[in-house]
Amino acid sequence: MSGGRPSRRLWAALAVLGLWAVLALLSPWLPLAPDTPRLDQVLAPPAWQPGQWLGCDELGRPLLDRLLAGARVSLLVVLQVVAGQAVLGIGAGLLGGYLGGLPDRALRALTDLTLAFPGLLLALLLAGLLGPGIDNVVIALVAVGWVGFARLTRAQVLSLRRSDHVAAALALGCGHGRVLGRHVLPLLAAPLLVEAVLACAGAITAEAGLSFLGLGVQPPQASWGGLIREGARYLLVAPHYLLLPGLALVAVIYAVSVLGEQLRRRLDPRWPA
Amino acid sequence: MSLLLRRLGATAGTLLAVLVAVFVLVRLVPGDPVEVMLGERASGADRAQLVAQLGLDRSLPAQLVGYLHDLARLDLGQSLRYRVPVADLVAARLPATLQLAAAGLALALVLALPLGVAMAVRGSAPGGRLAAAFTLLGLALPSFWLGPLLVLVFAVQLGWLPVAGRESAASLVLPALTLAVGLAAVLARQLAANLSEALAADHVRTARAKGLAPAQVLWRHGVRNALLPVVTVFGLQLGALLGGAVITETVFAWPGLGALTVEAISVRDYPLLQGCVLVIAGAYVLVNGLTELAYAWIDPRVRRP
Repeated sequence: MSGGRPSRRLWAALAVLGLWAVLALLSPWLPLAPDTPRLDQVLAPPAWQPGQWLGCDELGRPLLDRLLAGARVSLLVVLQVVAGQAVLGIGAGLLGGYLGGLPDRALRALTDLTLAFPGLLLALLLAGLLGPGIDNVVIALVAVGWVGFARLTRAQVLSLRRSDHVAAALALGCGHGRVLGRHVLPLLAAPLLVEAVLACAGAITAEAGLSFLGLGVQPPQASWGGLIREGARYLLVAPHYLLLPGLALVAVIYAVSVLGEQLRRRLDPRWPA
Repeated sequence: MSLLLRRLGATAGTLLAVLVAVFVLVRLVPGDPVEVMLGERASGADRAQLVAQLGLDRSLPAQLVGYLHDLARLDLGQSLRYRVPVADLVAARLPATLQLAAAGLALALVLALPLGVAMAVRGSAPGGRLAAAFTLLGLALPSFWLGPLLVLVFAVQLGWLPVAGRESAASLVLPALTLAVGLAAVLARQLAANLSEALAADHVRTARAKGLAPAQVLWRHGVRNALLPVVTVFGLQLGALLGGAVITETVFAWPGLGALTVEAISVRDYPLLQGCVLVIAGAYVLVNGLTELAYAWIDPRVRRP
C-alpha cells in the first residue's frame, strides 16, 4: 500500500472534506436564510421544493441553510483549535527536547498533569469555568490538546538532537534557532502532519460535543452539535432533524480519520504495509 | 515490593497534583466568581456570606491548605444550589456511573474481541476489511448522536427498550452500548495490531508445524499474548470512558456523576463542579495506577529493572 496509487477511499475522503471546506467557506455568499423563522414550516419534513430540501427545524428555519452555516463554524473552530495546539505543542516540544534540563522537566510535568485528567472532562471544566461561547471552547480545546503535539515533538527532537547532521550544523557555526528551524523541524513534518490531521478529527468531535452540552456556539447561531442537541428533543415528531446533522458530522469525522490513516501509511515507514 | 511502593508513591503524587491543579483552575476564572454564582443583583450580605463560605476572604496559600485539609476529611464543601454537602450528592450519584462504566467496559471487550481477531486473521480479505471499516466508523460515531439514534431505533420505532432513565436492567442497555462502541473500536484496533505481531512469532510457526489446530494456535498462542498490552490501553481508555459518560448520561438522563457535572456547569454551582471533577479525575488516576500495577504483575518483563 505504501507509496502506491491513492485508493478510492482516500479520494472519497478528500471529496467529502473538499465539499465541506468549500461550502463552509462560501456560505456567507450563498443565498441562505439560517436565522429566518417561518411558522408555517415548523419541523417540516424534507420536501422537493426550495427552502425545504432537508426539512425545517422547530422554528421553521431551513435545515440545509443551518447545516451550511454550522459547517462554517465547525471548520473555523477546528482550524483555530488545531493551529493553536500545534503552535503551542511544537514550540514547547522543541524547547523541552532541545534544551533538556529544567525546561524539559517542567514540560514533562505539565504534559503528565494534563494527561492525568480524562481529556473531555478537563475541556468541560475549562469551558464551564470560562462560560459558554465559542472562543472559550477554542481556548479549552487548545489547553487540553497541545499535549499530543508536545510529546511527539519532544520525543523526536530527543533522538534527532544527537544525530550527526545536527552535530555537523553546530560545528559549522549554525545558531540554535537555525538548527531547530532548518535541521530538526523539517524532519518532523511528516509525523506532525499525521498528528495534525488526527487532531482535527478530535477537535471536530469535541467542539460538537461541547456545543451539544450547551457550552459552544450559542443560539440562535447554528452549529452541528447544537443542531443534534435540538434534533434529539424532537426525535418523535421530526427524526430528520436528528439524522441529517449527525450524518454530516459523521461523514466529516470519518473522512478526516481515513485521511489521517492513509497519510500515516504513506509517510511513516514503520507502519506495516 | 519496592515496585509496589514506587508505583503507589507515583500515583499519590499524581493525585495530589490533580487536586492542586483543579484548585488553581477554579480560582483562575476571569471575573468575580461570587458575582457569577449569585448574579449581579445579589445583596451585600449574601455576597459576604458566600465569600466567607468559600473562604475567598483568606489568602491563596491559606485557601489551598484549607482545601487540602477538607479533602483529607472527604469534605467537598457545600453545594450552592442544593444547600447540602457536595460529598453527599456525589456519593448518591456514584453507583449509577460505576454501573454504566462497568457495563460499557464489558460490552466493549465483547465487541472488540471478534473484531480484532477478524482484522488480524482475515487481514485484506472481505471479513477483515469489513471489521476495519467498522472500527473506523465506531471511532467516528460521536456518542451524542449515536445515543439518540439508538433511542430512535430501539426505543421509539421498535419499542424494545426504555427511552431514558434508570428504572430497570433494560434501561442500562442503550447507554452502555452508546458508551461501548467507541471504546470497542479502539480496543479492537489495538488487539489486531498485537495479534498480527504475536501470530508472526517463531513459536507460533512451531505450533503450526507440529500440527496444532488453527483455533488453538489462535487462542493459546495469539490472543492470550495479544491481550496483555491491551490492558495498558484499557487504563488510558478509561479516561475516554469517563469523559464519554458525561455526554452519555446527559443523553439518557442517567442519574450519574457525568450528568451532575453538566448540571453543575449550567447552574454555575462551582463547589459542586469542583467536587464532581475531583472525584472523576481522582478515580481515573487511581485506576491508571492500579492498571500499571496489574500489568507489572501479569508481565514479568516489566518488573525487571
